Amino acid sequence: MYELLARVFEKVKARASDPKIRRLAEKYGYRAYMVARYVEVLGWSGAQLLLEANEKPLTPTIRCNDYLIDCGELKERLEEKGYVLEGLEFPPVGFRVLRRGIGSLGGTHEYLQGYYYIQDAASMSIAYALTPEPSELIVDMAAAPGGKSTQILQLTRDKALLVAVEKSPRRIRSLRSHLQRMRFTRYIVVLGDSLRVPLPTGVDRVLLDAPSTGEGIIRRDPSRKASRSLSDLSYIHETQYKLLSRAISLVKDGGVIVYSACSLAPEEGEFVIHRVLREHPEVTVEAHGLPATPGVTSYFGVDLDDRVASCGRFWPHIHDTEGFFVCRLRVRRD
Amino acid sequence: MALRIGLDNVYSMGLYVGMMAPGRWFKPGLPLAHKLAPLCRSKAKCVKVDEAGERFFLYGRSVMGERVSGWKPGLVLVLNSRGEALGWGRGTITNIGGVKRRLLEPVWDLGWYLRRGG
Repeated sequence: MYELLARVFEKVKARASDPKIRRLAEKYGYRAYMVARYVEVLGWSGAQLLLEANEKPLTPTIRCNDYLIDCGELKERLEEKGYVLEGLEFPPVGFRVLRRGIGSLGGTHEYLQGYYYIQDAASMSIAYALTPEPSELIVDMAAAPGGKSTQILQLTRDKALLVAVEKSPRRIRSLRSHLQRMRFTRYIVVLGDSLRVPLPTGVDRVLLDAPSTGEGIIRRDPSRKASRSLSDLSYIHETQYKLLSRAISLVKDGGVIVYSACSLAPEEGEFVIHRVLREHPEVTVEAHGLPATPGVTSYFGVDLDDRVASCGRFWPHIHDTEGFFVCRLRVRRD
Repeated sequence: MALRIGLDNVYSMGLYVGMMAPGRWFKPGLPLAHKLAPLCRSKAKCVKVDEAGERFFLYGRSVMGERVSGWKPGLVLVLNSRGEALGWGRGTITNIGGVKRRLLEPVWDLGWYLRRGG
């Protein structure tokens, strides 16, 4: 186990045995170690606000595919079917679905035409941090079901070349289906494990939306309150670190990596970045430009690299989204 | 920059044109329907369905001829009343109660993305 995490976990376990923490965890159905960590980062009142926010289901949000349709026209067409939509402050192509109309959101004719993607507001923000440009070669290392892959091509008007990698044969079907439904063509979908599969090198940008514990999607999947242990967290951290190290090996000098994870856990966010900054001096953190709160720099007595403050996190109780960590990195080899 | 990807690992790429069974048939894909839809005014063999016909078609069901404008026999590109591609169909003649009726049968419609797309 990563030595720094081992140190933190001892303190997490000690804090989790506090009766006050245990009572709060029991009240909301969490494992005590999770609540101990929320209290560490947010304080008591912040942690309670988070736990309360996680009890409220997410309002559905969609991302308009402005590569195919004017977003005002999409809004009108859906409102003719009884939907009520409200534009998000960010990103500009996002809509909150305040009332559902005829048919399911994933079954309208507009959906089949590829005019939108059903996606959380935090999730649809991540591709903006990558700032993809037309004509670039871009790798999405964990691409299914395709929300961010389709958005990279949307932002580049289908003019970048995207290599979208997915290791699950079941999930890769969704990835291909969404790319085709939304009418993108500049992609190569690769079936394989991003740690091992042959991939292009010298690429302009890499998006790594890393596999995670899913602590950020408790509002969608409450089973995540109790389905992961500290040893799972350690295992996932290790996988995320290895994937990010592979991402670093793929980008050209001056290339950009966006690392994200749908998790609230600093172990899956700031600690991964801290470790990379320590072990890869060629990597620096850049401003991500998203309306997220700064990364955590002090956690259970461990001081992390100050630069992780430039990473960001979307919180359910602050941003009314899923929980998401995001960090933009640049690799300079000289 | 080196674009080296093992072909064994490539699952899909580029515009999906369709499915070919060597020496037998070609089933045109849905992305191809969108690409060819702008040619409906001139070169492509297309039909338009009305709103009810669109619903039937996207459910993978046949559409009666009176709901199809410009009905043609054989493989056709199917559009809705806005001129948006809905997929591929086949114009056929069927005998219903002793009366010959024109029909549009689905070959590959956008509803596939929900039913089978994954």
